[in-house]
Amino acid sequence: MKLIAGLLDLLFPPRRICPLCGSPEDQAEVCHRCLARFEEYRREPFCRRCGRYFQQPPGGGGLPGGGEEVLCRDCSLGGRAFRLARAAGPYEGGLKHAVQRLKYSGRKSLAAHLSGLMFYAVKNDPYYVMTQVVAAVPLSPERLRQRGFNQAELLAFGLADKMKVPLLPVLRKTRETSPQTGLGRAGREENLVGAFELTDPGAVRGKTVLVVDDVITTGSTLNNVGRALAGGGAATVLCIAAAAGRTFPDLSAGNKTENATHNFRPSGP
Amino acid sequence: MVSRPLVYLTLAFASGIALALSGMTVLMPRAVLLAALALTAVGMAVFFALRRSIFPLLVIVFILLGAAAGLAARLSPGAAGERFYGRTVTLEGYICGDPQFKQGRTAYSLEVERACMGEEVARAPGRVLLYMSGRREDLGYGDAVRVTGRPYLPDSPGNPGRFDYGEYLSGRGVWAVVSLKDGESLEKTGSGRGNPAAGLALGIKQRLMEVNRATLDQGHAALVNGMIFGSRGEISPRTKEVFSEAGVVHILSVSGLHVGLVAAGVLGLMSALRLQRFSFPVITAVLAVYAYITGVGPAVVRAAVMAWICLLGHRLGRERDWPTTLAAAALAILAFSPRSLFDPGFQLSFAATWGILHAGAAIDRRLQSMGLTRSWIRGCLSVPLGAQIGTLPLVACHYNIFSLASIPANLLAVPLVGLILPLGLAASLAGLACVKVALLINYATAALLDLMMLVVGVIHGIPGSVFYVSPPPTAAVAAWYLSLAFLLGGAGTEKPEKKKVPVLRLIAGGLLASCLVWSLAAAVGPGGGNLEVHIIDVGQGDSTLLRFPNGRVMLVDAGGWKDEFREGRGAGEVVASYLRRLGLNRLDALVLTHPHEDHAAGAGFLLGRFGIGAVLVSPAGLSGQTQERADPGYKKIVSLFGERNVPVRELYSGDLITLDPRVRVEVLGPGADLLVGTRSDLNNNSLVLSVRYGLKSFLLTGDIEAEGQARLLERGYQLKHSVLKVPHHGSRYVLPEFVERVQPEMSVIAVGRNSFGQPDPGTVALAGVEGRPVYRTDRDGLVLFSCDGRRIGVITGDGRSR
Repeated sequence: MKLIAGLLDLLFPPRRICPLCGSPEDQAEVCHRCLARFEEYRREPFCRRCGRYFQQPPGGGGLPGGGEEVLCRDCSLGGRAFRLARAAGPYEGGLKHAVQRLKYSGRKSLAAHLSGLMFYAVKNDPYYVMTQVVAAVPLSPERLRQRGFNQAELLAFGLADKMKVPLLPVLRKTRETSPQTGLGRAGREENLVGAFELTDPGAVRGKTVLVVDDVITTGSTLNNVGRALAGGGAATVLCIAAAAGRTFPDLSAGNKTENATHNFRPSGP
Repeated sequence: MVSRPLVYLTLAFASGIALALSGMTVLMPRAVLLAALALTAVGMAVFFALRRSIFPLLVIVFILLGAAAGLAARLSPGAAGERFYGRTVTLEGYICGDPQFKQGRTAYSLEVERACMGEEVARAPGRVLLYMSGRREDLGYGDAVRVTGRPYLPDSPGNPGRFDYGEYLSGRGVWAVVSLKDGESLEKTGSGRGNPAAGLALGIKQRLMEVNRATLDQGHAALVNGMIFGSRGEISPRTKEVFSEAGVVHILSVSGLHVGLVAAGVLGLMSALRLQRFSFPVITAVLAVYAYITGVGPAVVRAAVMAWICLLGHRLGRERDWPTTLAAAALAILAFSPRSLFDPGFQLSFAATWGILHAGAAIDRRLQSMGLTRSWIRGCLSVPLGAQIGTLPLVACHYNIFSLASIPANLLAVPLVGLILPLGLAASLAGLACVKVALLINYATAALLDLMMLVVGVIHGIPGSVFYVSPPPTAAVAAWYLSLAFLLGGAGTEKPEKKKVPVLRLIAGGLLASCLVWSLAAAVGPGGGNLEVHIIDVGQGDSTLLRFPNGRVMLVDAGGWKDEFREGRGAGEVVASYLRRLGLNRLDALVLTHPHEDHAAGAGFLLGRFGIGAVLVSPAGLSGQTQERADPGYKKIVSLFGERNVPVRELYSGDLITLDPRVRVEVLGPGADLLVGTRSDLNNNSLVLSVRYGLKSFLLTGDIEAEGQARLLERGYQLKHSVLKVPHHGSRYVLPEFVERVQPEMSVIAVGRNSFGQPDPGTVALAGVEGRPVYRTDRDGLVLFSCDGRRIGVITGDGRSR
């Protein structure tokens, strides 16, 4: 195995550049400038439930501080079928570019770097430490054939390896859904209902399951996956993605409940 | 570890091969050199091993591996079959390759298993190339045959720089050629030998090519079959010549471009069928089969390996790295056939790709920063320009061509290939089922082919777009590539411009410019103040080039092979390539001493290819009255010169040709009263030229025989000359008194293989009396006299100077 890996390195020499920003480095690792940016992302305000980052309101200012338990407008309506979702950073700049190269140009080597960043995002969180099973958001068989690989699975593989938790193929997508892009939140939710199934409910019963996806845009996919897992008896559903979109905070009164993330009851059956 | 180890390892391997194969080893006995090399290598290996630097160790190992591979290739077969050369032998074996058709002849590759010579039966393993006139439909890959003929290996070329066919063949593992003549037989004794898969693939290829032959006229079919299946033999030589001068010859054979189109086509087909999962194995198989049926040329293998690695990288999700991919392809080819390193096709293919990927990419970035946003427009400029930069010195080296036409020609012709290739392929596939469909599709193919020929022809026809240069010195070529590599920073794509020291860039740029100037100066500059007399090796025939101290040139006769008046090609090509190698695009005067084919026919090839100041002829066979009549082919050539407004003048004794005031060229014969009724009137009325420079002189005698020589003696000319070009290829009609009167310090005989018994041993002895040197083009190849007015130096084709 080591010989084959060496030969492949010879044939496809790892380029010694930062996989995110492309600046030349001594190692093919994420550079310290990019890491510093991720450190900043962690201090940015984001939704405590779905992990999406908050859009800067037009006037500037008025954003809740990082320490406060603020939800986004979607999450404050309730109905999230997962307890927590987090991402390594916002879906923009070098991170967006990297996710796109992984997904559409098939640069699978990027998955290792991205899953490293995801691990970095969750390793100190007590909730995520409880993870017992890692599962990737599946692609439909049709799409899998087209693309040849499932980017979420590649990310999950790297992450599971670093978290030392088994990655199990417990999920299946039963039908091809029309692309999520271009649909509103309601449409997205609708589009995916019943699209995910458990292959082996026994594997998740009573467990804390970590669902891995590439990008959180509205959280609809994770909602549907969460519903399927909860239906199969999973105790807790956590989510992690390489990147998350931006959304608006819900600043109305009563949102700042301390229990927002804690008193969670799965909806659905 | 360096960032691209494979690139350095490949360079190490290649330099090892170069060391083992190059002429540099002539300087030292090879064994000594290798021992020294091995000792140094082992020493360095120990040194690096102790320091635990693995990479330098690996580099040394690869140099040694390359040297070993090169040496092994030197010792390749050939020796086994040598005792059969020139004897009548019966060979038994089977056809191990695709029959190649070329101008009415068929070439078969024969894997010989047994050779019988009279009673003697020997195992003679190895490959023989079998030439046969005409075509036999019943013979193909895998058929067992018995053939009787005389194996031989083609001679080394007599003129330096000329393509060495014998060497080329032995590099491909062919130990002999057998040309079947009348009375020699080829019979089929069985079939089904060889690899059945290969037989199947080649059989299908032949069927597909047959469809094109049936549905297109001959010229078009030859073009399409050459472009798609790599069978170039049927394409007319003139088309090949025009395309190579226009810098687009790569589209006539199967090259990287074609492999790219095939791979892209299969990829598109697979994704249209939603079978992307299988594209990797399918493309792997398609590329392998395609490379095989097109004859495993270096360009095809290069492109196939590169395409395969890119696909593999895509499949594994690894970032591909162009320089590494290119290096891997080179290493793969060199490991299998180390001699490829010196194959022009190999060098040009890799140089062009390197140029496109590095110089082209740099140009592309520059254009982008200049505000050209459309990437396809940038590509149209940067790809041909990059290829041109990458191949410029090598094209000058191997083909002596400097083509300004290549950029526009590639720009316009390559997109057409992108249409012709799929159409032709579709037609031949459809034709297997229904010939009418193929016919229909091929209407379009033919129209596009005509358009391509028109475009290339027009660009080629622009005056000054193509000229010939003498090969640049090796050091200039090396400097060109090194400074380019430096200017482009190794690989333009890697770093976003770390600022380099501008002084170093300036030096590199200056070096590049001086390379060009140096090469051009060497290519077009005058001969260096000497009078040079080149007796060119044209086989049986005569062609002498005079280069005067002021750089003017005069060609005396242009050679000519049997039937060349009719075919228009032969010795003339040999002369043309010799002149071009000297960087000559123009002749100030062309002298035709007399109308015979072996002296004059080659002039037909020079017509229209060289600028010619004047044609100077003997009156015999034209206005003068002789009993022997000149060949109508001769009169036609002379009149064609007239039609092109080249002045044609008949010369008589007493006329002077003054191209350089320091050199006196005087016509000694024929007189106004032509010799009539001699053994050969045309021969005896040959122009005889006396060339005098300082204290030295040359006597060029054409084909005068005893009568003509007697006339010169009668006239009482000052006949004493330093060098005598012995009359009439050294025939027995040379008078002893004539040679005595000339009293040459040395003589030269222009002669090749012939059935007239030339040169006559008595004549050779006459010229060589008292141990005077006699040079012969059949033994020495080219004979070049260089005279500064006081001394004469001689260089012969095998490179030895005397």
